[in-house]
Amino acid sequence: MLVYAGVPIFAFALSTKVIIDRDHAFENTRAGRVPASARKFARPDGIEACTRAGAICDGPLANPEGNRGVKQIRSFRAAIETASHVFLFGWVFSPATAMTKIAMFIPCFVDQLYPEVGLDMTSVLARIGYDTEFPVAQTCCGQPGFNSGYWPDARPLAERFIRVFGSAELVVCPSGSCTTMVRNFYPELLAGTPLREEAVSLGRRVFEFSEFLVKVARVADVGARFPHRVAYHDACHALRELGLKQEPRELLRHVRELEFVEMPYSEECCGFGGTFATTFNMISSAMGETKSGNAESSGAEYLTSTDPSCLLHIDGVLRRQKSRVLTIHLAGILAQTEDSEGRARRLLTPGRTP
Amino acid sequence: MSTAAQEFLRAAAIRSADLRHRRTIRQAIDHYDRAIERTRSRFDDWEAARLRCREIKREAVNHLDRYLLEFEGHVRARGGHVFWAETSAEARQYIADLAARRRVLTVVKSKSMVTEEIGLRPALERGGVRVFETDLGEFIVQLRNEPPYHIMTPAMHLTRTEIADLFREKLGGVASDDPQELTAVARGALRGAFFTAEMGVSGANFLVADTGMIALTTNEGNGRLGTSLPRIHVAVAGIEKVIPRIEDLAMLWPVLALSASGQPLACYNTLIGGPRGPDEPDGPEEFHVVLLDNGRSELLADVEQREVLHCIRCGACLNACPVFRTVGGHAYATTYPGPVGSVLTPNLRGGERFQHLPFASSLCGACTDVCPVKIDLHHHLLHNRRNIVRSAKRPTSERIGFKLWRWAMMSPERFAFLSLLGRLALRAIYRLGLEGSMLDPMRSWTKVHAPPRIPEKSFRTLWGEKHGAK
Repeated sequence: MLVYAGVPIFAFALSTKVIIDRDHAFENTRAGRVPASARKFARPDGIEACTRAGAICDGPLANPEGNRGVKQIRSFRAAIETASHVFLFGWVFSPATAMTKIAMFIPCFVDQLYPEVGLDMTSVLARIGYDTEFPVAQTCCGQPGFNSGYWPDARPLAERFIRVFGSAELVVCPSGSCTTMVRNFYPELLAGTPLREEAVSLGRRVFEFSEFLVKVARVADVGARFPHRVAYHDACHALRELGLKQEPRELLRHVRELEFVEMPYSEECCGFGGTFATTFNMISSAMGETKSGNAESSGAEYLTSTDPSCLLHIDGVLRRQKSRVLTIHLAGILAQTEDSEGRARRLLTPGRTP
Repeated sequence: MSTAAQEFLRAAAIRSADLRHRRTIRQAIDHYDRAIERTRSRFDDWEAARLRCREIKREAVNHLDRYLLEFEGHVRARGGHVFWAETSAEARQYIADLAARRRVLTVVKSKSMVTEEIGLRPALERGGVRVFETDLGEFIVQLRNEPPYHIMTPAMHLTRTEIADLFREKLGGVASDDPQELTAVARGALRGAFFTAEMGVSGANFLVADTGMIALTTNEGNGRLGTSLPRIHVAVAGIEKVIPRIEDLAMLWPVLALSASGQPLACYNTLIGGPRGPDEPDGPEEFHVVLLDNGRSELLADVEQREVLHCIRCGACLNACPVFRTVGGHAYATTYPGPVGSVLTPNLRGGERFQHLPFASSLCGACTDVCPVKIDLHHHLLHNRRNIVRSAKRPTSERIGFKLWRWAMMSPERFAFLSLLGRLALRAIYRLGLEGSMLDPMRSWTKVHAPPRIPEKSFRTLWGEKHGAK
């Protein structure tokens, strides 16, 4: 069943590992240690396809209909990433850690402004068989200070974050931007401090939500239903810092009754940019208008993304323009199932229905 | 806030609201993007090409001393002159003096950003010299008496109707806005200048060390004409333009052409190594190369930002930048606008004047994605921000704000309590419809956004209620 011919470099070393662990995973399922729901929503060829689809190749993800797409190692770095993910995959599903609890990294503004995003993420993870915990000591990862140049003020927060999440085996975050902060910027922020190595190692265990589902849990279909036309906005950090392009689209394509439309210029920044949105609010809102115009022209009812910060900004612009397009976080879509019609209403911005 | 920062904000706000401008730029850049997409397929491996170019430039920039001396040696051996200018003023002075000494009355210039950087045209004009920009785009913006909008496409912000109107007003006799006809009008206006000019000024896209030649890329042939007809040719180039070997052009030329305009190669690629030789029928009698430092060696000393000197001035990062596309090239008020300008200018020009530029970015990283020599542009913006904060040039209110932020975020209880207060206040303010008023602490946000929906309970509260934990 497993065809590794297309994975030229790491195939030999890794295939053994994956095959063994895959067997473990299914043993676990039989033994009831991974809830049956996890199996139910995994694609029948989920493991095989996703191993190929993960970071190594863009073929199958770019073209969900034809899983025999072009396979190519895009770069050495991608190969290394894949190696670590394949390794992780084995590790997650190995018998000892089959029930690994996921530590949820809920960014400070999600905590305060978008609590439902955190709840939706929990419910999706629970549906595919993961237990979640919320380390209550967490606050902010330090990104606002870091991005504004206040590195000495951001540093203690980074150190604090590492202390809070240091013992977690897996960390999942509903924001590509905050994930980027930990994975890509902590090593630089903490360069020359004793915590740098720990930052690098933690960075390998922190995943953006859609990245986690597709690359680590290897689930493309989480059993969601969302009968609407949806466009996806490529959040900059998820796209360019984490390299996530197909993962959220793959998840959306597997949502029942969802009609996915590509919006024009989906990769163009929405203009949020943290403090940029307030210090340069005229530029930021003009960029937001361009984005919302593109969202409208796509004909979508909903605009979704991996980053609540982009959505906060775009939503503010859309509503100011009295647009009919609504925004919803990816987790909000994935959380909705056949019987959650009632909940679906709750997630929408109040007072407006499509 | 410096006055330059305020001017930037004002200019940016005006342009941001200008939908016609946004459409014009979008159209121009889409045109380039389509061409780039087509041409990129000619490369077996575009990433490898970028990597190769970066390595060429890295080698050159890290051995500037050796390669520049090698270049100079070859130029001198062929009878050319090399002048090392430490500052803009020195470079300007050298060229102005030369023009005065040789009784130059007319200068034809091909497009060169470094001559904009040193302010050459006004300096020559002050000495009574007539200066003609011969690149079509530069010619247009010169007629409009404004600086180039874009480092590659100086008149990107103008439609051909506007250009036709301009020509009609300044040159007369334009019937239509047909691009061919407009070009013919400009050509007619410039032809005389080419033949009367005593001096031709050009930039240099590359300085080839091992042969001692300047490599000049144009699409209109104006560079070739302007450097071979007049008696004197002066080439001005930043010291970072040097490359080790002539073979490197095999990689750099196509990569430059693709990134700049989506062409497989630019139309005219010229190598010039000195004045007219004894057995050569044409070419200038004198050949001068002005090597400009103007802050570059300070950038060279900065290990973190040294790679900014790899820049080949293709303009790809400007096209990719959503901020540039929104505020336009003129708002920056710098020689080099866009991402690379926001990285370079605070370093090259020092002082407080341009310190707002690194902050005027959403850090989306589109620039880094397209840079043909793989300069990590948006990370350099971050570094610039950090350096600016470190040098104590930010408002005190902001400093205190971040100290408070840090204090609040160091404790989950403080964070939860203070944000609860904030949420309660905002809920009350928005319920009373006071968004955007002086009472609204988020007014810089609500000025341009509908107020956000403020939830009653935070995630941590909801989680605590559900799981019984604190």
